[in-house]
Amino acid sequence: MTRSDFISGIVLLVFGLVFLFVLIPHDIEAGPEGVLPPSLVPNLMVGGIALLSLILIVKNWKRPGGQNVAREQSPISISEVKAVAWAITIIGVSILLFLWGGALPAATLLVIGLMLAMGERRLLPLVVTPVTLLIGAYLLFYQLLGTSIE
Amino acid sequence: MENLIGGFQDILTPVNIAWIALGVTIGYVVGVLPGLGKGTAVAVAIPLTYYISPLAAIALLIGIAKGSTAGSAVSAILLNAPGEPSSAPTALDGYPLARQGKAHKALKMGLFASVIGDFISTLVLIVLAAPLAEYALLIGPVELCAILLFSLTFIGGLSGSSLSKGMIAACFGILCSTVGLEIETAIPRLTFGVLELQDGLPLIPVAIGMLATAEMIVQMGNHKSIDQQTSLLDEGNASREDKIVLWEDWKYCIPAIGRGTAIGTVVGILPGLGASVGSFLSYGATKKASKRPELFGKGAIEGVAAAESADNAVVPASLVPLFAIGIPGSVIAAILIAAFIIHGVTPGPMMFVEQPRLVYGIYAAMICASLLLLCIGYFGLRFFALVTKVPMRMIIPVVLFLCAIGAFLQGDGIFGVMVMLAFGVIGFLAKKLEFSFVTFLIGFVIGPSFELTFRQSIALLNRDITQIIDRPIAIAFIVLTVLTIWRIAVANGKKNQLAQKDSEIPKT
Amino acid sequence: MLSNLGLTFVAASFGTAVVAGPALAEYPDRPITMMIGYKAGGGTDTVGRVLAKVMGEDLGQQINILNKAGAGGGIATIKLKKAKPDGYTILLNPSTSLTLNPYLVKKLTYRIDDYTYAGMLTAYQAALVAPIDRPYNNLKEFLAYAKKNPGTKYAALNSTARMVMNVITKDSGLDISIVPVKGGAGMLAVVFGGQVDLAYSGGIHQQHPTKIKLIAAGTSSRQPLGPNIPTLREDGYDMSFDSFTTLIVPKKTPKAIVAKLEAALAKAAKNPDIIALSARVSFPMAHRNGADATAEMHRQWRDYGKLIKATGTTAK
Repeated sequence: MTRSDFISGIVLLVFGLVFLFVLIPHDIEAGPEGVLPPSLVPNLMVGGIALLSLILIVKNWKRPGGQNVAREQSPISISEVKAVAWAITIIGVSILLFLWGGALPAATLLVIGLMLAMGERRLLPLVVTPVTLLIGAYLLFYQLLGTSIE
Repeated sequence: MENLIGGFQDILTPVNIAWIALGVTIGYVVGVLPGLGKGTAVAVAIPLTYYISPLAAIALLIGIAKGSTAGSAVSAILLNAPGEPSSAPTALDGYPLARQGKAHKALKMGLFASVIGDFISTLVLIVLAAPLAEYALLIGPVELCAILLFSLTFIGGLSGSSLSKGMIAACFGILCSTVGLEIETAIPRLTFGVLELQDGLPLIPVAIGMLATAEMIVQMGNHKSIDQQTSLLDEGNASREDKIVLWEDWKYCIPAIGRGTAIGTVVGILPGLGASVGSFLSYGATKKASKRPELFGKGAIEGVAAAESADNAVVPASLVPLFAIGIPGSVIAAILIAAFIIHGVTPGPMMFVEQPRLVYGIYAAMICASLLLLCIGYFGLRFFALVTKVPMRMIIPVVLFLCAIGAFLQGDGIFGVMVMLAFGVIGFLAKKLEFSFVTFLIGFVIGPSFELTFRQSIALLNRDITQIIDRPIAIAFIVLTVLTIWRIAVANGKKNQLAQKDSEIPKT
Repeated sequence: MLSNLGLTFVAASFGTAVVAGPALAEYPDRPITMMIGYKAGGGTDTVGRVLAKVMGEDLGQQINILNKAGAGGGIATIKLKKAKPDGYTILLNPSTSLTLNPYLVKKLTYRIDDYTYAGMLTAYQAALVAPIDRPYNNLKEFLAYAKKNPGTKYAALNSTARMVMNVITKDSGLDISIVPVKGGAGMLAVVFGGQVDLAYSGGIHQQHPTKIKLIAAGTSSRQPLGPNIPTLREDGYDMSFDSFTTLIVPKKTPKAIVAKLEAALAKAAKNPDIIALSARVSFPMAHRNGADATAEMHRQWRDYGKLIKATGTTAK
């Protein structure tokens, strides 16, 4: 009975149908005869998703009393949207930095970036925390596990 | 019986006890850190074991398994960021309790429940391994498929308001588990040309992303209010009642622990289910049996007890098929087989004939590990509980960093971190839009077993569904599944009716 | 204090920035990953783990096991093709994953010449097995039983196993259900539980003589644990499946590194732990060095090619 469920239902229905009719047939080849097709379980699952999202849409079609619709807020607040954006940006950039610059700058950016995004402005924690974490990680990887970070 | 005594004497040397303690401690600490779990710990330890005696080696590995299972309750309770899917239900009630200033109480109950579940399950292993294993063989692929179906439905139904949303999450989980090369024909599925996906989506980064990373993002978006809550907690001095476990709490928890241990033990013995299924079934069972179900999800301590006791009971029980027959029932058991053989022991019934003293030594080691777990966990509690006082702007970067490390280690490098990020966002959406992220994980974890047993069932039933009449256990579970769906649909229908009535009351 | 921190930073940067160049003289200077194309706990895995321990001691660096099961060892083999040829990623697999499976599974496009071989160690004992309580004791009796009982069930743990059953039932009108199982452990579970009437085993059945019995030997000669059980050849089927655990490395691995691995493997073949293991799991020792192993791979490829042609099997 909520708008967000209604929208989720529609999105999921589209997702399910796209997979069922386009992506799966395109991506998964047919298997040999005598053996169950490899696309069986994936098809069952997206079929299930499509069906269930249809149920979701129908259930949320009728809304209780007209007035409440306007007052319904999105379940995701603005600060949460900002948080997701920050997380994707900082983690994403540090992944890219890892691919081009190596583990050290990537890890440093990750820690300091997140701290800054959380509002940390004091110099001491901004320096001590990354250093401690990085030394710990270094010990873990090189001494304990004997692997290298590539 | 002299073997039993001999075995105990072997274990009770300072050196061996030290090894067990080391294993439990390493396991516990790794479990506590969000993002690192059993897999990392055991992988690190295996090579260490080559150079020490067989008894010590096996004791060490088992200690690690037990410790990490118990330790992951800590990050679940304190941060709502469980290190492993099997501790996710612990977070459902543990975290609210921590937010209410009852962190000590929740941590203690988590530990007690873990130790009790682990201890009793170890006793079951010691006394009943052989007969139980024989019974377990009755559970063939068809029965297992039915059990998995039931578990999925039951757990999906736990997800609050909507069975449809829960089942969508489950379907998604299973769908994601099909990514990769298909096991028989090597045909790539849903890899869309991405090479790393040929191995499938790696479990740990997916779990870390959905559980810990997603939670951190949510907390990032709400850090101001969380910090406010925390400072309020400090101002009222935590009462003694909030710090210890009261008799009142025990009254609710003892039946939960009993149920949890039983469920965990049974789930552990059956191959292909896993600890996560055990802890969720236990949580759900206790919720259904509870006289105060509304409290679940808001701080019902018996929820913590149910989840943790089952979670820990799975570990010793999963060794039953290994000891009694020689077949590994879980990843830890499979690794132990190798450790056994390397040290010259063939797991299975012959073990008891050829090396009884060693076997009893291992039993003694497991009991010691349970007791040591209690001591080490209790000791560490007061330190860990301090974490709740740390402000969000410190916690979030540190936890996310640890998550990245865990995802990196267990996900083939930087690819794992990418997967973690992707599922972190998906998990965030799931949490906010109330799609059960835990059902997704369960679907993901048991997806491969489900698909395999499904195909096996089709062959075993000779593609003829009526042959299922010969398999009463399978029929029983299918009936249970249908009943569960029915009950949940009815219950949800009632809930929605009430909600509708509520909203029809004009709000002034 | 600051300079200590500075040093740590510098050390860490160097550590992460240096990509291991082919430092042949010091190979190995860090742990090696040994992939195994089967699950933990199976026959190949057991041999692999003991071998890793023994070779690791010899080479002075840890060898870490990485299980990558699927497609009869094929998934691991595919993965090895893309690994860096620096000697730090190696693979222990049955030789048949390269000499037989590509005939059976279309997706396995790799070939013997895509890799380099450091040697072979033990021999598998492929066989058809059954739960010990079944009323037949050899293949002839099993076929008679299957004729009387349509819907007899057979557990196949890879495409070779399927092929064997397809060949046996071709033109015979027998109705046998093929049940897929995952690895040796999966096969054992359904055999012990009596869920199937016959199964293909790579050799792990030998560890459970009280619960499993041999029905037909899949190797070219009879097997030590079943001297009166005929081989498939003797039963009239022109098939035998000799396979050996093989140590495989990416093709461009430097010769000096391959030589070191070869030497360590040869030493391991004489190691008492390995010999004891071989006896315990009943996989006879069958050590070959790199050159002999490569020759054997080619021989198997030709022979299996003939077998496939003769049975009319096609790749799926």
